[in-house]
Amino acid sequence: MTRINVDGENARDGLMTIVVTLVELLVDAMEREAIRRMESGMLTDKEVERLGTQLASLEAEIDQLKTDQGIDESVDDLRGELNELVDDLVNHVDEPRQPHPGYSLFKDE
Amino acid sequence: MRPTKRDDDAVVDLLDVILRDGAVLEADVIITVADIPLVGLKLRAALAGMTTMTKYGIFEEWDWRYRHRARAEITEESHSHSKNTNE
Amino acid sequence: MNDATIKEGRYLYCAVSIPDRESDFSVTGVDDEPTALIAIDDVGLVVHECNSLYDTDEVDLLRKWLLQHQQVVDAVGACFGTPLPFRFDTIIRGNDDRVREWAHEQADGLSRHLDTLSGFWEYHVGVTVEERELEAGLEARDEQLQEITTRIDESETDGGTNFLLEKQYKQRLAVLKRRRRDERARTLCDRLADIAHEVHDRDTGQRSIDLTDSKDDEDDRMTAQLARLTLLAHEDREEEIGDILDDVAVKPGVTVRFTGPWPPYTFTPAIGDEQECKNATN
Repeated sequence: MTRINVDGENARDGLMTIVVTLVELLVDAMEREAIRRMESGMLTDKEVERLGTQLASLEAEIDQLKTDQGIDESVDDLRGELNELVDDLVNHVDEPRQPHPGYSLFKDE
Repeated sequence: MRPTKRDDDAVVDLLDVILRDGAVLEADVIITVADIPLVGLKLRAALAGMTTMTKYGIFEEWDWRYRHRARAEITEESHSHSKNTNE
Repeated sequence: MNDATIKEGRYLYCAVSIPDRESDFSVTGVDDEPTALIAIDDVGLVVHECNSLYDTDEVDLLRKWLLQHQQVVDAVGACFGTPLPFRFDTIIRGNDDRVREWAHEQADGLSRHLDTLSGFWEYHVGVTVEERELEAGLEARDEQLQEITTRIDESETDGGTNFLLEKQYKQRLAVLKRRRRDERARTLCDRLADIAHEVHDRDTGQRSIDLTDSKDDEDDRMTAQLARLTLLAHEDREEEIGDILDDVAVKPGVTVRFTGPWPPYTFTPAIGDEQECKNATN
């Protein structure tokens, strides 16, 4: 079971961190989608420009919010942890399970 | 190159291995901290302090019965919480 | 809730092969307790007397105990060869005689495990590489990156299009860097697997509690972790492993950490329950 603790010294900061992290993840997803559409050629130049401008100013706002609230570092950390989790799922789910350490010596005992 | 053992980093590297690896004794003459869900409450709190994760970190469940899946559940509950919690 | 206090007990550090019953050993152990060696035929168990589990919520104290535990097992290894290390805080209820009794019951298993482990040790390998080394030459070899760069040059600086193109560039770069990292890690593992008995990647296998500050390097965003490996190898091959790592360390921007030989905590089987042993090796 995974638990994210939002307690700590400042519950408000904890909640803000989670909210902002979620927002950043959403913005990330939107940016990836925008890039995908740009690459596929389904957008006009004007549309690309407008999309990019909106996303850029969204990012700038979030950055400002993080700085104002003093949660730059905590958002960074939370994102790092989430990345690791996702990483595990996405990148390792197809790998053959690693044999138990010691298999080479103890299997015949 | 030759392997080192003496510097602090090297040993600290090993500490979490000692906590969760090593031969497990399966016998009723033994007591280990494994009786309480899996790690003693205070050790859990200390472990949480020892991680480099921030207070917003994510902790995993530690299952000592099956060493090949050794994962730890650590909470960062404050001392008052840990006294009341029994999970 | 577990009853953590007992009338009398023996904190168990490790089992080891001893040349004779007269073998002597005494090193300060956990919580500054004096250790002793209990001999049962050719097997020695290193213990100290205690009457409770070691439990604390103080970080520094726990770290101190772990270090003391490690020092004991380490010293045993230096004296007698590869020990069979027990997990921290393993305590047998009873006195020395009870320990002997238990050891007699387990004699077969203990002896066999010790024979099997004889000469083998655990080693840890950590490799990091500077981000810019991973990036070096990537653009020259990748058409997609080149295309994106061209479009960036053609776009209006600070415009919306430029913003998306920069993101696209970073995205592609990240994919290529990851691929390169994985390739280099795999190559290293393959080379080591020829020499070591087992090579375990700490990042894909179990998730461990990171008690080190190793993540600090990554946080700098200047270096990336290439591999964190745990090896089981025979001491005779230690030098060859070192040679392979020398090859790796000589590459630009690469730092290699090679520690050991450690008692084989990661590789020891369960004791006292043959079924558990069999399950564990599946």
